[in-house]
Amino acid sequence: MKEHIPFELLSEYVDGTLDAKESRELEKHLSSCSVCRGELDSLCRLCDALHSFRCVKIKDRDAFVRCTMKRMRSRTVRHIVYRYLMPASAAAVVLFFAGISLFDSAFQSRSVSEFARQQKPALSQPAVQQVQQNRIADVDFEDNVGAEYRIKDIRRILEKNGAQVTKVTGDYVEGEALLSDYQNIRGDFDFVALPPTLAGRGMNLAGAGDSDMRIGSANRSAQVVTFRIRRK
Amino acid sequence: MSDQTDMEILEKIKAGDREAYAGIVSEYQDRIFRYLYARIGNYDEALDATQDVFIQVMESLGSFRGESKFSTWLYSVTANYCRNYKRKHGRAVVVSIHRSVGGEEMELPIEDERERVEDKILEDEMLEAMRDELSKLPDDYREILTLRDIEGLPYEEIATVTDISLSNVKVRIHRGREMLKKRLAQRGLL
Repeated sequence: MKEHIPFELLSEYVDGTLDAKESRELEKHLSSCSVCRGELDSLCRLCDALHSFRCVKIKDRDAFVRCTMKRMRSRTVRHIVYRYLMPASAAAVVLFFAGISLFDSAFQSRSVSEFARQQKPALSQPAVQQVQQNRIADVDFEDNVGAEYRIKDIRRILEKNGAQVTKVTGDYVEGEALLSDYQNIRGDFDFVALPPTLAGRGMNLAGAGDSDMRIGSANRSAQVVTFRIRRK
Repeated sequence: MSDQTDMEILEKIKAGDREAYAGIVSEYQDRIFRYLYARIGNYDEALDATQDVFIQVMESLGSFRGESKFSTWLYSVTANYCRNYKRKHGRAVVVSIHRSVGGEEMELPIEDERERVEDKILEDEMLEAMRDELSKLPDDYREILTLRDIEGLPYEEIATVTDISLSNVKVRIHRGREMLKKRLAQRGLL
């Protein structure tokens, strides 16, 4: 080499990454060039100084290992809690409330119809026979409301009073309710005319709001009746 | 610790013996600390960062597939941690003060000029000057010189750790050394 050795070649020579031929040529030049020898010398001192940084260590090595392992263990516990226990707990809570909700709606849906089925047998035998005799088209009572009532208005009033709607057509709504509720329904419709009395057939319906309806000897207000509200 | 010993410890950990990880921490704590100390420049922060790295390594052991030496992978995780750390904390060691401005609280970063613990670590004047000049180098050069000249990693491993090509490793090494040498020479230390 006629010129001085480039710094990057000296750098690679110090690191031992030159091939044999390059190393020989470089050493040959160094043997006759004091400038390059000086550069190599200062580079070696630099690398040695950097290497001596290895004296830098953690002061209390044993304590560091203990602290690190302790922190690792606590993170493991937290990891298990957050990854497994909390989602499982959350799922359990959700299932619990879902179960309550399902149970509650199942219980609610049993309301009138289930209650009706339970209560209907409470009617004494003679009362049942009388009601069956007086049924108009398979319902216990039929009322007519003005045409100004839309079907959805009728449904709203029925459901507001706890009745269960069992059939809806363009002309009428059928349902079942506790007798006391049916009286309230009639009150909401503001019936002026009483429904046809059934006195002639052994039954007498009182006016709206009067819960003292006589159908057999059973508890009248707790009895379930079926009805049809027709738009006319 | 040889790579074989590292793999033996890792097998134990995979088998459920998590306490075996203490062996890894003990073996590599100084190396990782030195690397982080050279990059961060503050003893306490470098110490906390070292612990963070070991926790992170433990939690991500499942992603080590054995394609490189464990030590190379460990340095890679450390280098990534350092990059994220720099992004979050910047270069200077700062403390925040709260100051009321027009009735509103503000956070003003000011440089921490309190006596630093690391000033006591390097008693040798030369080493202290070296640390000072090293801290002033561009981050890329500082990282490369730390891995090559302080930790003694071969070029190929450095390329893997830093995710750059071998030729780039060589270029950064010689440019970093050249820059540091000039600075130290200006201070009359080389």
